[in-house]
Amino acid sequence: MKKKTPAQRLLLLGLIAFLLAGTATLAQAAPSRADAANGEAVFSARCAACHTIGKGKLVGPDLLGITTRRDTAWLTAWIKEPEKVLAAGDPIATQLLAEYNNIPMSNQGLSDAEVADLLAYFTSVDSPPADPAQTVAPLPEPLTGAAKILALNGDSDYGEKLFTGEAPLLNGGTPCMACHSIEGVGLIGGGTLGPDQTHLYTKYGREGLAATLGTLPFPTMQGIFAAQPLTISEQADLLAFFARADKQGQPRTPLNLALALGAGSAFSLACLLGMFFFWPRQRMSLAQRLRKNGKL
Amino acid sequence: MDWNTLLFAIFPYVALFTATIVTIYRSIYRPFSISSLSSQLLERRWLYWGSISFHWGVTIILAGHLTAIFLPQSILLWNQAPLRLYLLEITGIGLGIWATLGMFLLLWRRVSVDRIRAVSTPMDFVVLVLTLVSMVTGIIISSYYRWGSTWFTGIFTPYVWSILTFRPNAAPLLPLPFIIKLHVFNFYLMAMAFAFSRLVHIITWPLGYLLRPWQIVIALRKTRTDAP
Repeated sequence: MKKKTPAQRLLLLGLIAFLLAGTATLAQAAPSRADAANGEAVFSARCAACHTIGKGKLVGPDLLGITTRRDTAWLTAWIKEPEKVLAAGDPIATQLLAEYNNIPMSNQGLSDAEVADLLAYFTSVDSPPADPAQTVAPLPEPLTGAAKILALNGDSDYGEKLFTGEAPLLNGGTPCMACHSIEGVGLIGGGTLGPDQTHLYTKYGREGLAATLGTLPFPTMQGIFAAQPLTISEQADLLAFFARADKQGQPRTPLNLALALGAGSAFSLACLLGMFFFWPRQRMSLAQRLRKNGKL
Repeated sequence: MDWNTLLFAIFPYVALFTATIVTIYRSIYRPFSISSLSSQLLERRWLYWGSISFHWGVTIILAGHLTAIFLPQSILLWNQAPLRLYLLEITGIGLGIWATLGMFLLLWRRVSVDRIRAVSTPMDFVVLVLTLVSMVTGIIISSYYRWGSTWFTGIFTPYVWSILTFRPNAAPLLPLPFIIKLHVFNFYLMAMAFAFSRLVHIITWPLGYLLRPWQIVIALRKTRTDAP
C-alpha cells in the first residue's frame, strides 16, 4: 500500500480504539476468595454426573475424604487440567485411570476461582466447621434423575431414531449421530468428532451411563446440551438403545474414513471429467486462432 | 481474558469491522481498484482448469455454510435419514477436493508461469495461501471429524449468531480440536485481508454481470514483423 492518507490513519486509530474497548469490556474481574457455597454449585453442575460425596462410586470415585487422601496442589492440577496430569504420567492418575475402566476424567474448563471454590467445598465436607451456623447444606442427590431413568423401561427402537435424528430431540439438542458412531447404524457410520459409542454401555456401566445422560458433562457437549438437555424419557430410550448396541462388534472407523474420502475423491474426479467436455467450448483468443491458421 | 475469547469473540469484530469499513472506503475512493485483475490474456489453459474448479467448488461450499447458518432446520431435516446425510457430506468433501485441486493449480500457475508471476503482488500470494489453508483444513474436518453438516448446526450456528447479534459467546469453541479452530480463525484472517486484496471481488456490484452474456477477452496488437 502507498503512503497513508489522513483518512487511513484515522481509520487505523479507530480500529485500535475498537480493539482496546472490546478488551476492556471482556476483561474479567479479579477472582474473589474461595467460596464453598459456589463450589457446591459447581459440583452439582459439573461433577455430580460421575462423582458422589459419600454415596459410592459412579463413573468416577466417591469424593468423600478426598482432601485428606490427596494434597491440595495435586487436586488443583488434576481438577483444572486432568489430561495434562495424565499425559505427564502421574502415578496416582495412571492408577485411577486403570481402576475406572480407562475412562479419563474430562477437562471441565473450570476457571482457577471455580477450582478453588470446589476445593473449599470438599474441605468443608471433609472437616465440618465447629460453628454450627456455618454447617454446609445437605449433600447433593445426583442419583435422583438417574434412578428415574433406570426405573423407566426405555424403547430401544425409538432410542435409535433419537440417535440418528430421525426423531428430533424435544429440547432441540443436536442428534447424537452428528458426532458419535455406533456400529451397525448407517452405511458408513456416524460422526467422529466425539468418541465411538458402540460399547458405551459396558464402558460406563448401566448406572454410570444413566447418570451421565442426565447432565452430559463433557466440554464439547456442554456447549450444546447445557441449555437444551435430554428429557427423562429420551434418556431412558437412549439407554435402552445403548444396551442393545453393546452387542455389536468392533467399530470400523478407519474403513468409514476411507469410504467417505474415497467417495468424495470419486465425486471430484467426476467434476474434473465433466470439465473435459466443456474445454472444447472454450473459444480461442484471436492471437491463438491466427497462430493456428499460420498467419502470425 | 483467555486466548479463546481473544481469537473467537474479539478478533472477529476487528476483522469484520475492518472488512466492512475499508471495503466501503475503497469502493468510494478507489472504485476502479475493485477487481480481481483478470490474467486470462496472459495464460488461459491452466486458468481454465484451476479457476473453474476452484470457483464452482468454493461457491457451492460457501452456499452450504450460509444455509447452515441461516436455515439450520433445512439441513437437520435433510440429514434425518443417514443416506441423505452421506449424500450431502460426500458431495461436500468432493466439492472441497475439486476446489482444492483447482487452488493448487492456480498457485502453481502463479509461481511457475513467468507472465503471471510478473503481474503478481504479494497480496495475491497471501490470498492464495489463506484460501488454501481454509480448504485443506475444511477437507480434514469434513472427513476426519464427521459429520460436520449436523454438528455445525449445534455448535457453529449459535456461535455465528452470537457474533452477528453482538452477544459473542465463544465458550462452545474452547474444547474443539485445533484444526477446527484453525479453520475458523483462518476465516477471520481472510476477512481481515478481504478489503486489502482481490478478495473484494466477491461482493462486486452491480451484479448485472451474472445475467449478461459472457464476454470474450481479446488482445489486439500489431503484427510482429520480426517473428521467426
